Amino acid sequence: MNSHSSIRMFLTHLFLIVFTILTLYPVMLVVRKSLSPGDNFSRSLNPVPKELTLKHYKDVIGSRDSTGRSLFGRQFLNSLVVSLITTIMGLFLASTAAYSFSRFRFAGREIGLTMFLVVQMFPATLIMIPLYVILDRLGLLNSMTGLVLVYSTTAIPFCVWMLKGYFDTIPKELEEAAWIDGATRFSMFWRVVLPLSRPALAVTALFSFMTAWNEYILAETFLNEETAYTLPVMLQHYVGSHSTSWGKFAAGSVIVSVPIMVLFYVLQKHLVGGLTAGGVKG
Amino acid sequence: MRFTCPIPTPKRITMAFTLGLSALLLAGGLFIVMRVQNKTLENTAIQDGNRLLYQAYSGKSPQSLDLAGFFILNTIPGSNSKLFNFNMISGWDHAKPAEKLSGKLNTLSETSKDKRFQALLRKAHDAGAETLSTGRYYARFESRPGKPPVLIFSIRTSPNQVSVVFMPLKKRAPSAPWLMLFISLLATIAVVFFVSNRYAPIYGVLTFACLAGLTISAYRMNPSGPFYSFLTEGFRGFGKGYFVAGWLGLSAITFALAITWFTGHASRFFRALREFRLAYTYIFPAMIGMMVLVLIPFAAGLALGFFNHCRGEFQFVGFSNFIDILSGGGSSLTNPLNFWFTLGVTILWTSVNVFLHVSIGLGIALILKDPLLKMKGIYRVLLIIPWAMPNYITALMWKGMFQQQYGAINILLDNIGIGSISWFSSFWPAFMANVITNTWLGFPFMMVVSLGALQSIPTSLYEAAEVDGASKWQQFKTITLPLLRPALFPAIVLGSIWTFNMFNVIYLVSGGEPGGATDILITEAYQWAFKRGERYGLAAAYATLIFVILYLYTKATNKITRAAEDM
Amino acid sequence: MAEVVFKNVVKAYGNVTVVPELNLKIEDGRFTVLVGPSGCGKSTTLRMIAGLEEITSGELYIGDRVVNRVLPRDRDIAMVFQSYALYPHMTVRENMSFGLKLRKMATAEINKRVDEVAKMLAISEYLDRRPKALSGGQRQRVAMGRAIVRRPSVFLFDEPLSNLDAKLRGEMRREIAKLHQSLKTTIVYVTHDQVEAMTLADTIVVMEKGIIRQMGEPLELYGKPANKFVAGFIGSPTMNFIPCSVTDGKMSNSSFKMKIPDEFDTAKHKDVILGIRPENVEHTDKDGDGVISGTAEIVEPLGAEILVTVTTESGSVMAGFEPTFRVKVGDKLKLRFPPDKIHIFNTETSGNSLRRG
Repeated sequence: MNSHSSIRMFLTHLFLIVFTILTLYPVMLVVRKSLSPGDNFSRSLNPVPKELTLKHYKDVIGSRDSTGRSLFGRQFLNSLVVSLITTIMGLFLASTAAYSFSRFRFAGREIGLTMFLVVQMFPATLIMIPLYVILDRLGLLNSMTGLVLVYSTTAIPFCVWMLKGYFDTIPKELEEAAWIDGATRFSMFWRVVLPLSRPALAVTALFSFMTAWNEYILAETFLNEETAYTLPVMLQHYVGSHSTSWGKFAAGSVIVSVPIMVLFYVLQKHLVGGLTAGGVKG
Repeated sequence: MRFTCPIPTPKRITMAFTLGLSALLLAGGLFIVMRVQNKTLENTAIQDGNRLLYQAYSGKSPQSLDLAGFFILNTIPGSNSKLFNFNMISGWDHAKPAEKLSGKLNTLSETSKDKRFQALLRKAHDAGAETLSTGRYYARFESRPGKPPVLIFSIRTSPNQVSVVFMPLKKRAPSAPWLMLFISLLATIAVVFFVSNRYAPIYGVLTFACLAGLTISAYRMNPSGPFYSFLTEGFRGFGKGYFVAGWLGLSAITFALAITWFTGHASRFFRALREFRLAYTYIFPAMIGMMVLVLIPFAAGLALGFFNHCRGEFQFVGFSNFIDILSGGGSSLTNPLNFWFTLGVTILWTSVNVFLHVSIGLGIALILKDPLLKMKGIYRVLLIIPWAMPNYITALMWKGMFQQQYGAINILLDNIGIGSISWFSSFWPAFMANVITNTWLGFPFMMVVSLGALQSIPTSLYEAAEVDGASKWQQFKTITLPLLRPALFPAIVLGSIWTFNMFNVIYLVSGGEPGGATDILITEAYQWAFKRGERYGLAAAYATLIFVILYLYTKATNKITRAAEDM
Repeated sequence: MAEVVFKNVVKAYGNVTVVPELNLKIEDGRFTVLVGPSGCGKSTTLRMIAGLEEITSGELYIGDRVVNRVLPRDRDIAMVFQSYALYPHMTVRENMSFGLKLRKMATAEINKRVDEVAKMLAISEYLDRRPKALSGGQRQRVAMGRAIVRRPSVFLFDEPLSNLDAKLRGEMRREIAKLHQSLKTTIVYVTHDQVEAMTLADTIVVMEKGIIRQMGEPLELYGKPANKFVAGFIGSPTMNFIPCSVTDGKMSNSSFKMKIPDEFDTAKHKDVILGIRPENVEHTDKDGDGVISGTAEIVEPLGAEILVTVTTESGSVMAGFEPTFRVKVGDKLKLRFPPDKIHIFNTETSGNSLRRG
């Protein structure tokens, strides 16, 4: 490497490091807040806290309802269960639908596809009123089931498009070969197409999980029992209009974000391929 | 059964499918609107009952009214209980009831260990809190699975006293006929799905069974005769008029089906159903979910735009909501409440954001692509973090950053001598704050997409350009950009749709400040629905307009469907 | 082992007919090659045998069973695809045993068969690799192995060699020929490459636009093409065609005259097309019957022979001479068409050969 290109490398790294620090600075402040005592803001710009305390974390994790049961445990479990079931449901619904869209030329296919694209344009916040009535009608307000159903269906359109794009890149010969080998339609899907789509499925799963794990407006609307809250709703309440516990909010934010970060980290190498349909090579 | 064969579908089948779908949608939408209207009827009933009960309460002993529970809550003088108001719910802090209210709740709750009863008590508690905070009476039904619904209401009986009453309705609401209708319809389709044409009579029989089921359930609703007004008995279910209308509609559909049956269209339609039964079977689960939880609310949302909502009453007003919005509601163009002003802000917002997302994302991707660069993975992982963070946390975090006194940004500006800015008191700083937040959370997506797209450009092209003597800039312009377009284009379209509807950032960072000037269409709609007097109709009309704009946008951006199909 | 019979088989997509009324008998144990230009319906025909395409009307027999409505897995066939269609997520062994596993065969028996076939195809050492880690030729072997382990009564090959480079193609061709000799199973093989067809086939079926133009043994097709299409398709380089008119038992045009041999019946025709393969064109010094003169335009020495494209007044004529022949671009040449090597076709669209009998 000559000196010209090593200077260039140095500058590139310098730029990237500065940019990354700038990008992560707000996050660092949140982490600092979560580790500093009290709810007041300090006027310091140093991202390293002066005093270290885990009090906020203890408060958040140790929160209890009026009867003394652990609230955080309940809510964490709610979030986890809702997100996991949403992921599984979303994957199941989206992959079957996407497979059908990708492989069959049936009547209504174009309409269906357009519809799946168009519904993403309708502002979700305003589907809320009718949705509330429907859930109420089905007796699914305040329940995990209702939330899971709503989340998995709202996640579907995007997932269907993404998976369909990926399925399209899987050569049809593979399924024909499987068919001649004696596979049924289902086992073609299950044993050939799905295993080949693992990267896309991983990304789809990540998005479904994120939809459920991060969502709060619908959860806020449909849940009105504290024990049924998911974590985002709980978080929102720390900085609701009648109390501002910034320390708890910061600690809670860290707790909520960490699982997603970990998932992103694990799946990040699939993100690129899964988003821009890599397909099967070889 | 066979493999995908490109048999062109006759236009008529597609048409029949479309018609069927739209009929279903329409029915669903109508149903929801009716439900809302029924709610308003419930509300009037409650008002009447309310008045009676109030009189009774002030005069007689409440027990004589056959109440299941009764208690009084007192406010603590001087407490300032402002509640998170989301119309349907009250986010009442159960953890610390004593801070806000005191009363006989505890003694009462101790008498019953029943979990459900406890939940009910908490709801009653909510009602009390609601009344406390708003000063209005509060009344609603609580449905309980497998049990009759409970009526809860609360009244302010003196300046710092609230009374809450709840009583179960004596009769359980009958199962709704529409459910049966729906199930029969599904069953019909399922059967036609798997039997061959010869068994067409089965289809007829099933349709008949479906209608008969409807009738029977209608009778079941009322022990004394078919023409009974539902409203006098319970509060849930169809009213007579709707029932008749539903009946007529269904008959019309059946009749139309019968006619098409003879002309052969229906049989062709069902043949197509059978031919692709696998395809439909695979789509079915997703379709049902979408239908019930996305499309029907969607249709209801569209329909709602033609109604006006005022204190629980819905009135059909035709296009007046739309006219109201499009004419600017009588306010001048510079008024933030004017639709065109908001639209301008929204378009500015979307284009600035998308431009920044793409240029920053692509720029970083280009830097990270450098084959000599080490530790790419680390940079990439760190830079994805903003995308991974839940965006309401991001928004609140940035709101903190922009806080006037303690926000990091103002402190920084102070330190470098510019002096702090009051971010949310004038338009441009507030707008900028929103844009900075959204750029922060939006660029990683574009970065990842660009990285993927860049990887797919063969290096031999650059080598060829190098041989041809193209400069780096020329290479970027003639190779990178044109080859990125197919991957980037759908991402940009999707990104602009997301940004156009980016509720969280606007709502949580600037909240529309100053004076609603930084509101975009979606937050504006939300404000109308939940902050400015529950004008659901107007809000829905807004939403419809948003939808229309986005739809036209995607149509205009060069056949997005195909582009997205390539993605 | 089984024969495959098409009886009035029609294949149409909506209003577009791809194969009209196909009648074909593929004999038991023979290596039959379907050949034709792309879009001629040969692949559709093969896929109909496989059960991947529905038959619009007519009957298809495999053995003595009508299989129109029989699923592919019950047809007792195996297919090798052009793209190999190996399952990328399975190892070679899993690829080969997939079909047997789906048929619920005992694991021991599956392993025995797979090992046997792997040994036969010399892929034993790759059994635990994924297809990605294999070269083109190895993938091709695995694809064949996957078909062989099934022990079907009919093998179907859909252009299996077209993804290989020229050298490997020749190698694999010989391999397939060897395979057929040892297995003695019915093979239906689709290709657009007439060299493959000539070298592999017991029987060649030449198709055009869904219609069989000629069917027979390779040398029969080469020596006695039934029509201009087959004549042009079989043989490389392509046969020369020269339009002529017929007068008094002679055919002629402005630059050329030739007596019509007795084997051809040109009585009913005014215009005909003369066909002669480049390798049959001779070089001569003197004018006479069946001699045409022209200028050498392109000279392509191939080593084993030398190809000369000669421009005459009747158009370009390609001739193949022995390598010792000396000629350079621009030389004047006289070409002779030996009467026992020529072909005569009518000028109608059918282009049928006018050979008697």
